Amino acid sequence: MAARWMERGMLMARQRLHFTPSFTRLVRPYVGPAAKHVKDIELMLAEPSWSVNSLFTSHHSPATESQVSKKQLHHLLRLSALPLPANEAEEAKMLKDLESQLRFVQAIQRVDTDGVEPLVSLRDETEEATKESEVTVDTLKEDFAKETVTGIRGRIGRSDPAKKEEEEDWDALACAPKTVGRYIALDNKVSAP
Amino acid sequence: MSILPKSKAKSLVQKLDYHFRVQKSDTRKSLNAFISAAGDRPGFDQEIQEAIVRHENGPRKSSLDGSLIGVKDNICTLSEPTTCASAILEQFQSPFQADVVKRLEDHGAFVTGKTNLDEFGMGSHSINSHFGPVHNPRNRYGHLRSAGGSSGGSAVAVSTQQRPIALGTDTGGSVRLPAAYNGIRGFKPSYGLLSRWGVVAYANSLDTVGLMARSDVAMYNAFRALLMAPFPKISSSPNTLVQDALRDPTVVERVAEAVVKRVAKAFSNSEYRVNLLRKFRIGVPKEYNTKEMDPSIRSVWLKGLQALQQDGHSIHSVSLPTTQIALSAYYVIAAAEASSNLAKYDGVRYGKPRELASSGLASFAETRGLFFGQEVKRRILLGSYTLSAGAIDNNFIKAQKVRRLVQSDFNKVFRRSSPLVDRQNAIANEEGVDFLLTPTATTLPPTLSSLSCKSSVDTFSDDVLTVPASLAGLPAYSIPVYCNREHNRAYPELYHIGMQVIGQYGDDMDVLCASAHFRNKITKILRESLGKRDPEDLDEHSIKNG
Repeated sequence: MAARWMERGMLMARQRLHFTPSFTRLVRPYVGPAAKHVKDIELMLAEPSWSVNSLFTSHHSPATESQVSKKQLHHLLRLSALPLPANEAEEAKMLKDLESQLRFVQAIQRVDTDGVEPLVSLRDETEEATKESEVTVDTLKEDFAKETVTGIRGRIGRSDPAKKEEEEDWDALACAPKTVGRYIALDNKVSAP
Repeated sequence: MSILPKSKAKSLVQKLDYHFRVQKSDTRKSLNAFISAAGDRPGFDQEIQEAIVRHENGPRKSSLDGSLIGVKDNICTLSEPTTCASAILEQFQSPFQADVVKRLEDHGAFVTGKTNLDEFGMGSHSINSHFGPVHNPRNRYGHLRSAGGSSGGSAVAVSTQQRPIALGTDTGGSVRLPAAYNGIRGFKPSYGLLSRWGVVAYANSLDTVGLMARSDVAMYNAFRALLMAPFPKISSSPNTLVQDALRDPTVVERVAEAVVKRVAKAFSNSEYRVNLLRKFRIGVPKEYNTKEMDPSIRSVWLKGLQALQQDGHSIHSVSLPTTQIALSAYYVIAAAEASSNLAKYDGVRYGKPRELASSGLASFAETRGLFFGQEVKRRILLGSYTLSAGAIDNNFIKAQKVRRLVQSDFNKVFRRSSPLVDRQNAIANEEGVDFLLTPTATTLPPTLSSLSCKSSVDTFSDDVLTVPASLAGLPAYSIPVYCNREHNRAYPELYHIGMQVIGQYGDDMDVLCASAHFRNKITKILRESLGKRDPEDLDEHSIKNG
C-alpha cells in the first residue's frame, strides 16, 4: 500500500514537471481607460494576447512517460461501470485518449490557487442567505409536528399525505425495459458455483 | 397541414401551416434537426382550434399564444420521447414534463418537436448523436458545415424557420455556439434563474436552459414567458417563479425574484424600457483575442466596436487573465459531474431492452458499453479519473478553485457588484464596465470533413470564448452581426458572425435590451458604410408578404 502511495507521489511530481510554468501567478484583472479614437480600438485588437494552442502544446508533444497504467485504466473503467477493452488495440486507444485529455485539463496546474476558496456551485453566498439556509430546530418544527410514533419501540414515522399522493401518482415501473408484476426484472443466467 | 381549417384568423393558421410545411420539406429533413418531428398527442387539433379562436376573439393568453416552440431532446416533454440523442434512452418516455415546457404551454405555446443534439449535450458540433449528425443549412458550394453544438438541432430548426423559437441547454456554450454558426440569436440566462426541473443533467453546476430565436422580440417574449405568469394574472402575481424554484433547489430565488421584477417593470413601463438604453461602458477582454481567431471575425468585432463608439458608448480594454485556463478547468468540472450524473443509466429502470450478452449476464457495464457513444464514454472516464482518490485534490478541487478565480475576474471588471457576494466584500467599481462585447466563436462553422480529422480533445478549443461566462454563471447573448463579402471572402455563404454580450450576474434583462440595441446600431452603421441591406431583414420582409 505504502509503495502505491509513493508511486502516486512520484506520478504527481512527474505531472508537475510536464509543464514549464509559463505563468504561475496571473496578472491582475483590470479595466483600461476609454478609447478616445477609432484608432485606439484598432490598437486594442491589433495583437492577439495568447494562443489556445498553448493548452495543447504538451498534448501534441509525444508523451515521454505515460501517466496512467493499464492497471489504473481498468480500475477507472470499473469505477465508471464501463466494459474493459476487448483487445490490445482498443486498450491502447483508450490510454491515448485519456492521456491527451489529461494533458489538456492539467493546464490548470500552472496556476497558483493558494488560499482560494473552491467555487462548488453558483449560489447566494451573502451572509443573509447563508443564515437563511441554516437548518435549526425551528426550521424543522413543522416537520417534527407531523411525526407519528408507533409500536412498542416507538418507531418514528413521517408522512405528508398531500405530498405522498403527488409523489406516488405515477407509474415508477413504466420506463423499465422489463418488469414482472410489481418488480423490475433482469435477465440473468445463474451460473453454477 | 390538413388539420388546419380555413379560418378568418389567417395569421396564426398561416404561420403554423408554414412551419409544419417547411419542416416536412425534403431539404429541411435532410438537415436532421429533429429527433421526434412533432408530437401527435391526443387533442392537439383541439388545442390548435382553441388557439385560433383566441386569436380571433381574444383574449390571447400571452404574446406567445399559438407559437410553435421546438425543444432540445434533453428536456422532458409528455408528447414525445426524451432521448438525449443517446441509444440508452432511445425509447424513454418521461412521466412528467419539464418546468420550462409547462411554463411555455401555460402561455398558450405549442411546445412540440424534439431537436437533435450531441449525446447528453457532450460536444460542440452536434455530430455525436445516435440519430446522426445535424447539418448546417448554410452548405452552398457543397461544403457540409457544422451546425454547432450541442443544441445544433434547435439552432437549425430556428434558422430554417421550422420553429420561430426553440429551447436549448447551455453548459459551456451549447446555445450560443450553434446560434452563432447559424446566424440566429441564442441566449444563456444567469445560472439558477430558470428551473432545470425535467432537464436531463449533464454537468449540473453549469447547465442552464437557453433560448434561441430569429428576432429580439421573439426572444424577449419567450424569456418573459419563462419567468412570468400569462396575461390575465400579470398585475396580481408576477412571481409564480417561487413554485418552480421549490422543484429545482439550485434556483437562486432572491436574484430570480429581482430579475422577474425587472422584466415585469420593463414590460409594463415603456419609460423604464427606454432608460435601460443609456450610454454604456463596454469592455473588450484582451484574452478573448486569441491567435487562432479567424481574421474575418476579428474584423467584424472591430467594426462593431467602432460603430458602438460612434454611437456614444465608451469602449475599454479589459483583462480577464484566468480566461486562459478556464477551458481546462471547465472540462475537469463538466466531465466529473457528468460521470456522476450519468451513473444512473444502467438499463434497468429505464432504457431500451437488449439481447442477453454471450456471457448470459446482464451487467451494467455491458449495457453502458453498448449504448453510450464514444465521446460520452471518454468523458465519463476522464471524470472518474479526476474524482478518484489520488487525483481529486489536484484536479477537481483545483478546477473549482480556478473557477473561483474566473468568477472574481469578472466581478473585478464589472461596474455592478455581484448579487451573490456580500456587499462589504463586493468591490464597488465605478471604473468598471457594464457589458463585455466579444465574438461567440473563434472560427466560422468548420466543415464536417475537417472535423473528422480532429481528435475529440482538439474540438474542446471551440468553446474557449463561451466557457468563462458559463463558469461564472453570467447571462450571455449571442447576436448575429451582418458580415459583408468584403469581410469574409473565403465563405461567401455565411452572412452573419456571432457576437456575444456578457453582463453581470442577474443582469439578464439589461443584456437582452442592450444587445438588441447594439445590434441595431452596428447593423445600421455597417450598412450605411457599405450601402447594402442586411439579407436577414430581406428574409423577414419576404415572410411577412409571402
